[in-house]
Amino acid sequence: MNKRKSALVGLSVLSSLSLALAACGGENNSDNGPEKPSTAAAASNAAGADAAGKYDPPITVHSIRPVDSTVTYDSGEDISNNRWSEYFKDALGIDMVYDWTTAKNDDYVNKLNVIIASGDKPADIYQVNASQLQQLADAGVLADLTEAFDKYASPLTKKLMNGDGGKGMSSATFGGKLLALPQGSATITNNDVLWIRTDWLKNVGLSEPKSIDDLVKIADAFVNQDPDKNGKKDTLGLGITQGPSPSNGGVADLGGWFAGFKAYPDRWVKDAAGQAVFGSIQPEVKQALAKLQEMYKSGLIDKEWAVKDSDKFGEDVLTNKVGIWYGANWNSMYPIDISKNKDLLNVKPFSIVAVDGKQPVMQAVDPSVNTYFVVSKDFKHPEAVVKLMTAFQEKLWGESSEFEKYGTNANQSVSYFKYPLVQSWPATKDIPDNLDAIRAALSSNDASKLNSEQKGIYTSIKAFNDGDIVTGYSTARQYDAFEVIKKDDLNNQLFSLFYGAPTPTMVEKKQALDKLEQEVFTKIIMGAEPVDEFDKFVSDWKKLGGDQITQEVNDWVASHK
Amino acid sequence: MRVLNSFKRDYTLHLMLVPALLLVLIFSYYPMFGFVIAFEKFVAHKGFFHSQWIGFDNFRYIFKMPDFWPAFRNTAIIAILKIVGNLIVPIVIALLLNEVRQTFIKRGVQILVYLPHFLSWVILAGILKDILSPSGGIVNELISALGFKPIFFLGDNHWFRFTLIASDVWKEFGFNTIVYTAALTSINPSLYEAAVVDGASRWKQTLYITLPGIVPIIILLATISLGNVLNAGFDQVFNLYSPVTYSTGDILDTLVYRVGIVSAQYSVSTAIGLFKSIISFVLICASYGLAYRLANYRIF
Amino acid sequence: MIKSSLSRRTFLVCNLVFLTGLSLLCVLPILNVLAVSFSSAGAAAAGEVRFWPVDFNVKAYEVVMKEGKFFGALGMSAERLLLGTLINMVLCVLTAYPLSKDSRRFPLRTAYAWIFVFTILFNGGLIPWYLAVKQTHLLDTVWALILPGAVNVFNIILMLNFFRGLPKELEESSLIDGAGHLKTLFLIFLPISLPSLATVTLFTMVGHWNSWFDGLMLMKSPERYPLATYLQSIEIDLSTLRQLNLTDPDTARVVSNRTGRAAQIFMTALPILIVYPFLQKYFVSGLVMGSVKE
Repeated sequence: MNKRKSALVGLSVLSSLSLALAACGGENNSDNGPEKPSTAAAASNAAGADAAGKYDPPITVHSIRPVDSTVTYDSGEDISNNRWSEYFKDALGIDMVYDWTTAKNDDYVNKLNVIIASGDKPADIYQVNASQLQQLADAGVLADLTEAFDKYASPLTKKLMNGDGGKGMSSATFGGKLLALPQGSATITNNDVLWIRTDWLKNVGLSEPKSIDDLVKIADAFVNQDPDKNGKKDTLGLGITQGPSPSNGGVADLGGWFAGFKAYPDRWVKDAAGQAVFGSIQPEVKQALAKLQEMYKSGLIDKEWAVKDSDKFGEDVLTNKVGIWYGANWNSMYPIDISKNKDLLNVKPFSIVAVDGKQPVMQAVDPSVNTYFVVSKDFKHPEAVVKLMTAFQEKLWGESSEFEKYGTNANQSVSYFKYPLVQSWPATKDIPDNLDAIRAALSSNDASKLNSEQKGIYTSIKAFNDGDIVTGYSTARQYDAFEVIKKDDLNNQLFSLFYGAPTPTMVEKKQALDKLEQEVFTKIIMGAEPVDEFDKFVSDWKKLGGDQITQEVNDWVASHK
Repeated sequence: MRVLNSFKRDYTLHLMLVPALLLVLIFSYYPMFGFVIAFEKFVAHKGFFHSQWIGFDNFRYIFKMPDFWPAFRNTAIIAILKIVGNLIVPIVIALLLNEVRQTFIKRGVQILVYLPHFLSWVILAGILKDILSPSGGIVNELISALGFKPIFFLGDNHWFRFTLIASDVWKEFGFNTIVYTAALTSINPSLYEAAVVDGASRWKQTLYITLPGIVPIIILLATISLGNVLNAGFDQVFNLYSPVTYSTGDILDTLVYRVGIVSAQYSVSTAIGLFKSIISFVLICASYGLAYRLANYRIF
Repeated sequence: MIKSSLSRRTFLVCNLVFLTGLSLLCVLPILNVLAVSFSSAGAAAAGEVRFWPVDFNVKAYEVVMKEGKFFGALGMSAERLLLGTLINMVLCVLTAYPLSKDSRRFPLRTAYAWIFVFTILFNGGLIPWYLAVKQTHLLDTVWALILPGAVNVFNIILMLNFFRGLPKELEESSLIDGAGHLKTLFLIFLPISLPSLATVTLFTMVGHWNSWFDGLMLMKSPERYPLATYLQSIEIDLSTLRQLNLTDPDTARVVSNRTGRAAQIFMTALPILIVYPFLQKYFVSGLVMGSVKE
């Protein structure tokens, strides 16, 4: 369950029909008519589209999408009529029509799967996840975007879309054809940090950990030396949540711990011979598990961790039960809730530690893209998706960017950037771009160079520094975490070698292997099985399809050099 | 001939069935064409009738899955015990309620015990984790007070199934009691009057009048619940199990769910579904036949 | 009566105590949920809430009810509930009546019964079900939520067994008097079957009110969701947090689902709780047969 849930997908293909409808008049035309006069030629040029940048007459693009409750609006706007949809109409001559929406991503995936499987065509441009992309590519129902991307993507978009070293674009390319635009995001933000109650550290007379040994000492002190000074032995050691999640980027996961042993479960890493091997079955994992078992036996890990999910773990955080755990940068927003417990002010992010005491510790991340945007083959304007992407990135980060209008409002309460369906983010947005800009502004006390997103962050952190803890804590500590991650070296990241759609054997066997892994890891940590059970797990894993998967992964890696 | 006569003589009776038959035909029987994908390597874009036919390969595949038979065993054990619990407890409660003379209390209790039915397992799981916690959960504090060792209900394979069954019975018994309460109303009061005249005690009345009076309903519900013999309750298990309790708590539905996460393997999940249906069907047929032979009673 | 009064009294007292305890066991968790729904998200997350709200507020309900969608969904649900229950009940008694006949009297009944029972056990799966609704052009209409589930076989079987329990003489005398089957059903059978009708009506209403998945699959936009689907859809899936990075900081801030879920439970349970006592008066033991005998 802790496994990443497959993200989103979208399908659709009503193109010719929709054009016919638009041509027939009716509501569509009367809507579009008055808005035709445009002042957008310049903008679309700036956005990198060529002279044919604007469709005249305008085209209607049918689409579908999830719209969750975090999408909020200024008055008068909604998902179909807002500043972005106006802009797309004016500058590009594109009228986005959502045939249906769902309020949850999972619902979207479900509903879309059913529609795909029932042979319907959901829309013209839509979003899909990796395995759906693979299916649709196999089915040959997607438009080839290679040419359109070459021709219509602005230099900025070309740069941003390849900001991850081309991994995303490569995962969207099948047989030399670009069949989707990946939704890029940063991998660096998935790195774990160590969240520690510094007031507890002080109470037990210890300082920030530099090695796994230090960490164990801290956990021991947190259990046995009454760190909260309430006279009761009611505190826990290292926090872990059920699963356990052996990779980073979650709440009380074990990704950071394993990294300290140079173990990278659930990632595909290179072995000595240069072959891709599965991180979970490497000998380093055994050592890391052995140490956890030792800690569990001496009471430094909650006896009940195996049945605590992140909500339950959050309770322990809020009620001063636990003061040290590995987690992602956003742990300052969840599970920490500063409005409930002001003492959590003292929870701070620290660099993760290694068993050999060396820092910085390298972490492994999965560069897989969760969301792709595809165009159905019989849609007459496949380049529209490229134009939409280009416009999105231009308006947020290009020369003609208007972040205040299209990004977020001044106090960050409304995120306009959520309105467009087709979007992709620069890998460097948070770290180092925003981080550096904001640190600079804070030290110079000059926020004039910041964009509105950064201004919002700046205001929060400033409020925090001025003593308004409740308003500012989440953001301030998150940026502290960014600082830690950046300090530990941006380039010091290991990318999982495999980032494609599930291979055929993964589809069949991976869930059984994942379950086996969870079960064995859990039992070893809890001492229900000896550490040597790990060796049996390795041979079981190989026998039950793992060897086959490894072969497929190596083939994939070879074909994506 | 008999059949033809029946059409002539009882055409009203046949006509009365037509609307329901039509709806069932459209919304239940027509979609059954979906079973074909259990025998195919279903690929969405090829559709139901053009995907590759692979016969029983999907069944072979699921029977060979390392998790299948343990899950099957867990499912059967959990489901059967739930069926038994959900049958007996409501009967007992209905009988006890039947003894209450104060209408106000009777109705009040009925409503209150019905309430848990509305709680979702997501919420209940949160509550159960609190009250069952071995460190500070109220149930374990009680157990400790009685001088026993605390029990890790959700993390101990000896107790996990018991916890599932007990919490399910607790959640649903109020709902199930309603049927028996309604059945009790159809018992002829003159039987009781006669019994009182004969000097039968309340206990005897319950034993010889009340209980036999609701036996048909009991048999009926027991038989129908056999249809759930491989449904151990996905929502509940999914929200309560964890890797520690996989070995006693993993059921067919959670298995299907995990298969589904990796990718929508419709063929495999349809095959598992079909397998479950067939087993339930056989069991229902058997108990229907049994009731007819032994008691000359047609359940439906 | 009098001679057994001591043991009988002891029993009655024990019985009362037991049932009261049982009711408490069922009510306390509910009270906890109710208290949570009126507490602040933080207090709920910290597990501080027992049976009384902490930091009393109605935010969870506000969130649930904000936007026009709530009332739209409420309307949709009301429409579904009324139409759906009516159709379900009519079909239920219409179908249960012929099936309740003895097989000597109505030879095909057993075959018919099996046709219905078969559908409880076997279903073709999600996609064919969706196709059936789509091909009948019901998608995005309230009928999509009503017709596919209009034949509830479990309720029919329950009903037919209740019908069987009615005295044979009633039906015979009615038919001899020249009344047809329809008349017998509606004028003779139904009036004396109120307890069973009440039971089945209750089940049907609860079913309609609580089902959400069909709304999600068969309605195009959240504007047309019935209430249960809408309430279910406002929750945020925590697992999405794992994929979050800063492109979506807001989601991380809104994540307390706990109070929202609790509020949601009350929204779904409340109408049923209001209706139940009204149906309950038909459960009073002995009423039916007594009145028939006279």
